[in-house]
Amino acid sequence: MCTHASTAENAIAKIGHKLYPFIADQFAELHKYNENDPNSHRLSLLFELVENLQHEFESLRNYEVKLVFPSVQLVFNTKDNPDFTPSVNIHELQLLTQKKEALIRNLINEIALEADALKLQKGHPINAVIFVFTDSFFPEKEAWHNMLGKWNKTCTCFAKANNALANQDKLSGYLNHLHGTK
Amino acid sequence: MRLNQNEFLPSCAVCAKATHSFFSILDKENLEELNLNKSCTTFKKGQVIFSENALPLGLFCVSNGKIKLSTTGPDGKEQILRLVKGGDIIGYRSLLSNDRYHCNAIALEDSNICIVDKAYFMNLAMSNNKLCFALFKKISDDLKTAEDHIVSLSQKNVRERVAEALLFLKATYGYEKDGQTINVQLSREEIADFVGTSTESTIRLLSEFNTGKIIELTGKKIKIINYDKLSKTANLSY
Repeated sequence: MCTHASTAENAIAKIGHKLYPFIADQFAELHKYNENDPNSHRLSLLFELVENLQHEFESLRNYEVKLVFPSVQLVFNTKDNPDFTPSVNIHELQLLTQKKEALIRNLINEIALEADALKLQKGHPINAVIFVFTDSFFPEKEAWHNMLGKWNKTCTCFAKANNALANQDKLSGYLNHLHGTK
Repeated sequence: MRLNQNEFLPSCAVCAKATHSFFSILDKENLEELNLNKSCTTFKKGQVIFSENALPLGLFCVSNGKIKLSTTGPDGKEQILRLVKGGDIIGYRSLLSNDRYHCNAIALEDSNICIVDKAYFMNLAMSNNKLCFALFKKISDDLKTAEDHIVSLSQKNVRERVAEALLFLKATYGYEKDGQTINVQLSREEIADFVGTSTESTIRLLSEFNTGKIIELTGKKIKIINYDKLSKTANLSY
């Protein structure tokens, strides 16, 4: 087993099993609060933004839990199975998730500005949502991407997956060339 | 607002007939009375008729010309809410709800506009059943248009998300040897699950991508024909 595998497992468990369920709970709390708030109409634009944020967060979580995290685990598992070469492109997955995270960051900035303009109380659950993203989500994700970037350059498991991908690209390029010249 | 500038003064009876305006349901007597409770002016192309957050002082009735109702989105971009032409009324939402304007009204071309006095219009709406019903109908039609717009916006979003799902699947499973077919065969239900939408919407959008030559569908196999177009459709370039 690769020495980085357990680090990856821990990071995946921290993000997927602790951070994401915690953020989901914060959203649930927020909706409960909004249902019971007689002045909630005043915050309709803000809640529209929060709804977009939740949608984007759930979408990212869905892709990471179902595709990205298992793909990273798969890359490390190849160490024990030399004949197996995954066709996953971790770098591409990383770029796609980073773009979704950038959208989440934009939404958080908008929500923070709107919450500030409306002079929301410090204890308002919207502020708790902003806090969990700025204080936990973004730092955790940055650490995750830094780790992936480092492994992509130094880890032999990642090198094996990347080589397999490059060979596959060469083969498909050759086949497409043949097809095109026929 | 310029209530006293009677640069032109069309007769409501003539205008209502010619433009099939909102007030065309009124009888001759009411139209004559309406004439006495309005002022009219010409707005030049690009001129602001009313501004967001201003308080309404009357109802605007467009005699001729084209008006744009727009607001500014959170990203600072202008969002056109709707376009208005001769015979239509504007500013009634704020008037009826006693609220400030939620959008700007700007003349897209030189436009002749009459401004009906607020108090007179409110009295007329409350005393004239026909007009009151026409107002209900107008608001209902506007609500339907707004609801249709919401549906089209959310559909656009689903379109982006279907494209995004295909990019994630491609990055995860790679291509088959042909270098174009995604190396996984998922049911439409499974793809819908990734997208977070109904299977019906997913089927429809995949079919649209197929017609638009972005992808090619053969059973459960999805071949990406135009990756750049798929990326642009996913709108992931924030």
